[in-house]
Amino acid sequence: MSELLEVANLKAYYRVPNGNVKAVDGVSFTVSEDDVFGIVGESGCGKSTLASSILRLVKPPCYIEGGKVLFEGKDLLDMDEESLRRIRWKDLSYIPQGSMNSLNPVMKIGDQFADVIMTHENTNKKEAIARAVEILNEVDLPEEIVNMYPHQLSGGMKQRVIIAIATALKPRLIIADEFSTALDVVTQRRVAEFLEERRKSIGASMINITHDIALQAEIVKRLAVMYAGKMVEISDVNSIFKEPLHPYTKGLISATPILGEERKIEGIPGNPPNLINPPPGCRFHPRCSVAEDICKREEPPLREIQQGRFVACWKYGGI
Amino acid sequence: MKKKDEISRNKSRKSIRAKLEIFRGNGSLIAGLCITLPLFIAGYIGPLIVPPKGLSMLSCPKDRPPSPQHILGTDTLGRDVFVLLVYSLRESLTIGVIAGLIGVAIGTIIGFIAGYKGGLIDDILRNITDLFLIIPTWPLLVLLSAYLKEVTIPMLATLLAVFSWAGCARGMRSQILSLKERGFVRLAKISGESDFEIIFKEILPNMLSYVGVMFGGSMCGAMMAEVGLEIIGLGPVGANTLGLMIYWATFYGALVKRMWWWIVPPVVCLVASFLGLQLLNIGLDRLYNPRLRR
Amino acid sequence: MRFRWYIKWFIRRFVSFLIVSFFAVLINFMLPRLMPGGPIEALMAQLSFQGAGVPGGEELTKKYIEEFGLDKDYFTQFICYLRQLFKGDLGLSIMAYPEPVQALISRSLPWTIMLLLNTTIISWILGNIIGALVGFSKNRAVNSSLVVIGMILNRIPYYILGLILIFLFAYIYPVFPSGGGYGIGLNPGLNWNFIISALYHSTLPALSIVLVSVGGWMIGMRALVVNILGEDYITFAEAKGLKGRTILTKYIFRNALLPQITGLALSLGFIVNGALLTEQIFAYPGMGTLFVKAFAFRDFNVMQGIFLLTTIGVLGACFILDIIYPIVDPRIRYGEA
Repeated sequence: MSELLEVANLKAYYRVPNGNVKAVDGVSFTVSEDDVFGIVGESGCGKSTLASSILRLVKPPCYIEGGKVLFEGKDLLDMDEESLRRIRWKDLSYIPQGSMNSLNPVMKIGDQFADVIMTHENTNKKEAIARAVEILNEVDLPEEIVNMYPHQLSGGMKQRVIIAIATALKPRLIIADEFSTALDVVTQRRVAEFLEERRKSIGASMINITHDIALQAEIVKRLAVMYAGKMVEISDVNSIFKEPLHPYTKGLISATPILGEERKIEGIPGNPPNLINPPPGCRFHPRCSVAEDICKREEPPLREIQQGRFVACWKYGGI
Repeated sequence: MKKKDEISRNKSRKSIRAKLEIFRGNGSLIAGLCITLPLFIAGYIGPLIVPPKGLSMLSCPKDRPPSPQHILGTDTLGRDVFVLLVYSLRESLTIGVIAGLIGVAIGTIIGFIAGYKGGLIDDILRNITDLFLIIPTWPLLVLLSAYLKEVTIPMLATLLAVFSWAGCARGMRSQILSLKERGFVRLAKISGESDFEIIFKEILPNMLSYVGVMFGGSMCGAMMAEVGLEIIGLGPVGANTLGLMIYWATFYGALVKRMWWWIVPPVVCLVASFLGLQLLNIGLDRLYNPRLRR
Repeated sequence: MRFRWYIKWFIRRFVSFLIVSFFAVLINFMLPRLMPGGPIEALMAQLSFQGAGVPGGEELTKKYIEEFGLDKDYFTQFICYLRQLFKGDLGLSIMAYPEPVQALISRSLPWTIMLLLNTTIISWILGNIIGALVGFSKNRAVNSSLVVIGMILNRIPYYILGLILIFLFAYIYPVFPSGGGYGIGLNPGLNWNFIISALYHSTLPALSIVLVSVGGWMIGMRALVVNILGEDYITFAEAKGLKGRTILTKYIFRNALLPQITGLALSLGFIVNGALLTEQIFAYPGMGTLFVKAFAFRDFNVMQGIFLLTTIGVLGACFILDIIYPIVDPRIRYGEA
């Protein structure tokens, strides 16, 4: 199966007065067609920066230090602006964090649909608005909102509008960054279902980024766990929950309450590391209950220890 | 023993550094101080050093360009321009300070009441404040002064303040509004403190620094209004101010006669005052509202 | 639904405008009566200021008492005053007796309007464009220096800059005339000579206002643009792969211009203040020069007439901007959701 997206050793840093915050420090993974790939991790581990870097949307003081992002074989980081602009949205779209503020407050919703349709598909305004209405119908959003302004809609509606716009051109890959975080739990479920339905109907792959591991369990097919700018475990979602390999993953799962199970909830002691000067060796070792000497000295590489299961931990060999 | 000395030395070094911290990244504050401090020093220490010789009319030869006896030359009324400048600077600054203080006082009280009481009172006061901010105040100011026949310094300061309080009131009101929403005021209300107690124990201590911030802007506004009056000859009787200097200069055609030494110094002092006060205002505001620090 | 809302907004604003204008009229009415001595004293002061050589001083006094109805109570006086105002009668001028105030003002009004309109529009547009460019540019050196220059220029009162400009360009390097509205001996009217001369004479006054104002608008626009560039919807627009020009016009400018319009409304009073004085410095035949001349003669009628006119003028302009604003800002138009 051809890989839709291949990220190789991506590095994105933030320049700050004291040094460089290594938010994404050598991340590699692949996403295939019709795949739902989740990335989970605590706040500040670099997930959002990863999303912005893939799309080359990072703004100073953040900059891309190195690596490759191969989308359908072409390196996005190496492309000229115009080619990148053409790929954006048509083939690769984005549902940003803080979707509440992602709609232009002084433009009608219909116009915000239409401008993307007109830009990428060379139609005129009337046709574009008609397409917008069509899409709104497809996703069961009321037609009237075409003439409304963002502040007139509720949070959940705005989110669904963003999702509708993100899937309007039937892209091959959608990157969703914390699409549900700002919503209440009930709306979260509705929007998640909405998103999955939409994704299936246009046959796109999706990268779902969130800190909510329980939500990931419901949505994704494969899950990657990110910690301190690095991937520590990548696997299919069932295996991760049944048999988590990396100590951090184990900690995350035990920290999540599961309805119906009587279990003692345990947190992970300690704090996330300073990303300007991360600890030597494995970045998790200060908080790891089973850390050994080598963990403090050398960084474990991400290795495939079984078919489709990757982990970066000295406990699984490779020494 | 040695260690104690070291510790206290380190402490004082740290506290000096901490005090200098407030200037970090705050170019406006530094620039503002660099401009206004020399002006104030010149204006207030100056008259103590420079004797008022050459201040009265016709005490010097007329229209002389700068020379060793008269550093900035003399004007058509036979006065030493440098001495005149120093004394006028003091007058202008004093009037500005007094008017600025009155303006801040009025603005604080009104802004405070509006923000604290809210409701209809707030609406009325806010509309009055906006009124003073929107309408052209100069014609009204001149009109009032004209009716008053003779304008003394206290009268002038009060008039100026009446027209510069509005900016202060607005700022104060928004500060009060934001403070009101902060927990500690609500807490005080719930724990049964009276209005009076709330005002004096909870709110005022937080506001005092902001009053200082507002003062810079208020004084700047007052001085600008002052010059606006004097430049048409409406100066306070008997007082020499920078604006009046400019008035006489234009009256006697200093421009035509190319007497730059008469007109340039007061203009420079005035522009420096406005600029310095405004920079100070911005700098202090940035200090007080760290969110705005860029 | 939105139409009904707009009507309500319009009425509210109009009533506001009426109330405030009423207060301005009231002040105008009360001033001569509240001042020490009352209007008759004021009149006496005016006459004596002129050296009591005003023709018809006696009749003038009698006419005053009659007009003001000073033998009747305040309320009746006020009604008379209002009635006169609606007829457009602002009283008689003392210094140019027996010319009515209204005639004097209508001669100078066009000059002031021309000056104000041109300078305000030019500096607003220019300031916004430069501000936007600066906001976008990554060149920190140019950015900071322009901001500093703009800030310094903005703090100089128009008339002071006017003095400097006169000094430099009318005397040291005599390129421009030092004052007046048009060349001596020319006939005012729509002839070519006059128009050229008028433009030539208005260059320095206009320049002193524009140079100062541009700085202010530029700094404001730059700050707005920088803020907007950091907003989520701009990132989203970029992610959407929109063309740069689309993002610039529909996303950035539309959001930046709205606060600038509000700013324009708020600064009108300030602009008028400065412009009036600047006219005087340049002996430009507008209301500013007229006002100062009236002040020299203590001609209260003219002064009050100008005060009333400028105040209501600014309030009217604010009113117009107020009713235009909802049309351009949909957030106001559709209220708080």
